[in-house]
Formats: sequence, structure tokens, C-alpha cells
Amino acid sequence: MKKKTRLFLILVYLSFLGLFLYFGVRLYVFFSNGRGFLNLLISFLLLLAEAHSIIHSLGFIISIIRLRKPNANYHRHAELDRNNLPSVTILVPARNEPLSILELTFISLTSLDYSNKAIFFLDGSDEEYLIANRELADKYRIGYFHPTEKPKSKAEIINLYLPMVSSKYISVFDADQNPLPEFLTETVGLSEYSKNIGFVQTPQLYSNFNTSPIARGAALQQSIFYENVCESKGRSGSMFCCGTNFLMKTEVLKKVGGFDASSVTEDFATSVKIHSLGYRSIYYNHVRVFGLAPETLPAYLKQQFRWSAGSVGVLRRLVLDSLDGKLHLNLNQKWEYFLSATYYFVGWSFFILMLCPILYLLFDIPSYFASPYLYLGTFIPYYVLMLITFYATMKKRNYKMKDVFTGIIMGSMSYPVLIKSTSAAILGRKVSFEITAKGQSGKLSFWKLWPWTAMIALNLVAVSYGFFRLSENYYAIGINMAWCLYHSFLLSHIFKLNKSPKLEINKVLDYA
Amino acid sequence: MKNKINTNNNESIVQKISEARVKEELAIPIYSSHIKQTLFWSGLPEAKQAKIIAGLRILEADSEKHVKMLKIIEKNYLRNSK
Repeated sequence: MKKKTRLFLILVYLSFLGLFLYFGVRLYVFFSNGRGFLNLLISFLLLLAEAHSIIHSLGFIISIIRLRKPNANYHRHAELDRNNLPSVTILVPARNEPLSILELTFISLTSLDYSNKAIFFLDGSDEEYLIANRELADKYRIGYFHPTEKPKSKAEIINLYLPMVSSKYISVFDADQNPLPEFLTETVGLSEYSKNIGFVQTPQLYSNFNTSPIARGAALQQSIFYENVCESKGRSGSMFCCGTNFLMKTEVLKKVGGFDASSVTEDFATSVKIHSLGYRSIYYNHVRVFGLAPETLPAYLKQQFRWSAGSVGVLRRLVLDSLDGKLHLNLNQKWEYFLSATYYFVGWSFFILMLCPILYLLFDIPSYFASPYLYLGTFIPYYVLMLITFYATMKKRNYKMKDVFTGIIMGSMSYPVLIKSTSAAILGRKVSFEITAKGQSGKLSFWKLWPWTAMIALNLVAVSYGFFRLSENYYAIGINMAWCLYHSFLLSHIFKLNKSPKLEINKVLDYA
Repeated sequence: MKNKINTNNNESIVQKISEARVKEELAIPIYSSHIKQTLFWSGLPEAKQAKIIAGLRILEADSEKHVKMLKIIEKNYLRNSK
């Protein structure tokens, strides 16, 4: 084993140890710290927030360990007979998308190097878009479908079209995804290898990151997700469908009753059903499709809102189905679905972690924040080791420290939206669904930024108050002031991110 | 001597030429633009990235020539098949 690999492994196992040590100490502190109702309540919420972060750190460590071993059986292709290729229907569901974006997708789809394919544009747009959309589809000899009843979601329009599909496979692309010519030959080859394979998912790579800081951050987040998280899920047989850039056996989709239209993340919900039937999924970690990231803060937050509401909604169902004994997933799959479905509670977790130093500085709650041993002995080693492990993993994939920090900022930025969406999902309330509009400029007004500005102001008030109290307990007050300043610094990036994109989207591809 | 051309074959040949032209004229600029924009994430040294971009430019120039050739072929084929 190479020296670097050995060092990396030692780091991973140390992080593992640090994580358990910290959580053990945190549990002990919680149970031995019982002064007053408010103190107990805040301590409990903090414990939950930290448990969330610890569980997801554990998930990350497990994925690193899993990816360390090569898996020779994972990507096996069947030889395809070029004269007798299995039939594929390509579906492009879209609603009110700009023609310039649709056209790039249509060109890429017609240029796919696969003879036995049929392409259909499933147009769920409003009346004023229909004529131009149909003309564009005709121009590229693409089939056009506009349902008489207006579909409420992507899942609904696909389901309306599904009875007309007789091909062996369907492949779905969002309106802004441009596949490379080999997409179908490679994914069909993978799927043909076994009857048991339900679908093949490929990554999304956003190429418009230069248009705005939001696009850059979203592209980075997406890459981290697809390069590490998905690869690990794929290895454990629990990769879920991401709604675009995938190939699925039509028979399998029909068997589960089409896409689950009751969820705003129909792809995620449908994957649970497919895995429950015993079908396997493949994650083909090779970029064969380029796409576009949301370019504005409203578009990014809208996307986060939808994903988080959908994932937590599925969690609710997973728990209910599990209790009813209807969930037929293996342990790995249950663990991975649990991680994916609970990830978006990160908004709550960040909010509570931000609130606690403020409460301590202003009201001395929670009281155990005064303990230096907690920080120096357990929290600091855990936090530093996790950060180094994360950075070392990212460095292997050519990311820089700055990129890792951008990921942290983007993750913290969505907290008000995530709190709102996950609350609605837990309560089973319906949330609206809109496809993120691309190529449109837009930013949030100063007043709509109130959740961020209020939190920054609160942090600064706490820091000012702490400054006058510093002599009471230099250590505890100093540490909490530092946290408040760090959180204010993170949140202040909202003003930098809330900018209109530099270029119109149709000009992005015209720069060469 | 002119060969007798089957109408079905004729249509499919015209369609194939047209598809090839669309690929050369419209699809290749899309691929190369996406690749150029995301190349920095490949982790390749800058010199190698510059070499790839130079290679892509040559392919784009070739593609333009192919488009012109395909247009001529399309035109001649349609004229001869009448």
C-alpha cells in the first residue's frame, strides 16, 4: 500500500474515533446537565442538531471506506449488436422553458449515436409557448406531446405519456441537459448485462458556473454529490434515480405504476419502489451529459426547497411503510435512503448551531458551554479531523480548499428555506412545485433577505454583549463570540450571492 | 450511366446526410463549448488543458469544412436523384 494511501486511511479511522468520542461525551454532558426546563430544551435541540451532523459525517466516512475497495463486478457491459439495438424512447418533459435552451437539448438528442431511438418532447407549457415549441420539435423531427389536461408536475406528464411507450427502455432528460453521442450505447450496454437492472443513472455536470457565483457554488455542490456520494450509493446498490440523465427499463417503471406523482421528488420516491421490488440500480460515474445550474439566488433556493420537501416527504413514507412491513430494502439501502432523506434537516441543524452561541452570550444557556474540556478535548479534534478528511477526499478529485469552503457557504445559505420546506413535509402539507427557470435574471429584494440579515444582526448583538462580559469567563465567552463572528461571516455571503447572472444563457455556449 | 434510385433509400440517404450536417454544424460546437468550460475540473496540468483546447479548435475548424462538404453532397445528391 502506498504511503499516502496509508496516511489517508489512518486519518479516516482517526476521524471515526474522534466522531464516536465526541458523541459519547456529548451524550454524557446532556444527561448530566439538567438545570431548568429552558436549559434542558436548548441542550436537547443542540444534541439533535449535533447528532444530525455526526450521523452524516459517519455516512461520509463509511462511503470513503466503501470507495477504497475496487469493485470489479460493478460496471459490466453487454456487447450490443449494432444492427439489432434495443429500442429506446427519449422523453424531454418541460414547462415554459426558453427556446434557446430547448434547442441545444434537441440538437444533442438527435445527435445521439444510437439508431433505434425515438425522441418525444412532453410539453407541459402554458398556451403562449405551445406554437413555438411545436415548431421547434418539428424542426428537429422530434415527436410532440401536449396533454389536454394540464399536468401539475414532471411525473404527471411522463405518466400521461407512459401508456403510449412500447420501447424496451425510456430515457429522460430535463430541458437543459445536453448528452454526448455515446450516452445511450454505454447505458444500454450496462443495463442489458442483467435482467435485474432497473435503471442506470449518470451524473449531471453543470457547465455554466462562470455565469454567476450561485451557478459556481451549485455546480460545485453537485459535483461533490455526484463524484463521492453517488459513487458510494452505487457501490452499495442504493443509487436512486435523479430525475434526469438516466435510462430505465419501461417494464420496471410500468410495474411500479409510473413515476410517483404524489411526491415533488418523484424520482427519489419511485426509486424506493423499484428497489423494493428487488431491482438493482447502476450508477455510471462518467460524465456523459452537460447541464445548466440555477444562476440566481431565487432559482437556487427554489430548487433546494423542492428537493428538501420531496426528500423529507419520502422519509415520512419510508417510516410509515417500514412500520407496516411494506418496505423490502436491504440494510445498506435502508441506511443510504435514511441518509438521503434526512440530509435536508441540515437547515435546522445549522439554525440551532447558530442560535446556541447567541443564547449563551445573552442568557448563559446552555450552561455546559462554559466547559473548556468539551471543546479542547473532543469537539476540536472531531471537527478538525473531519475537515481534514473531507478536504483530503476532495483533493484527490482535484478540488481546492476554496471550493470546499464554497460548499460550506452554499450549504449554510439555504437554512431558512430548508426549515420551511422540511416543516411542511413533516406535517404532510402540500408544497408548490415549479421547474427552476433558466436564463432569467433575478435577485431577492433587500426585504426578502430578512432571515439572513436578522440572524447576522442577532449574532452581532450577541458579540457586542459578550465583549462587555468577557472578563466573567474569557475562555467560554471568547469561544462563543468567535462562533458568532464565524456565522455572521458565513451568512454575509448572501449579499455576494444575490446577484444577477453575467451572461444570458443563450450566449454562454457562444463564447468560443 | 445513372443508377436507378429507390425512393425509400433516397429519403433515408438524404436524412442521413442532413443528420450528419446537423451534428457537424450544431452539435459539435455544443460539446466543445461544454468541454472547454469544464476542463479546469479535470485536474490536468494547465499545459495539457491548453493542448486539449487547441485540439478542440482544430476539430471545430475541421467541422466547418465538413459542413461545407456535406452541404455540397446534399445539394448534388438531390439534384442527381431528381
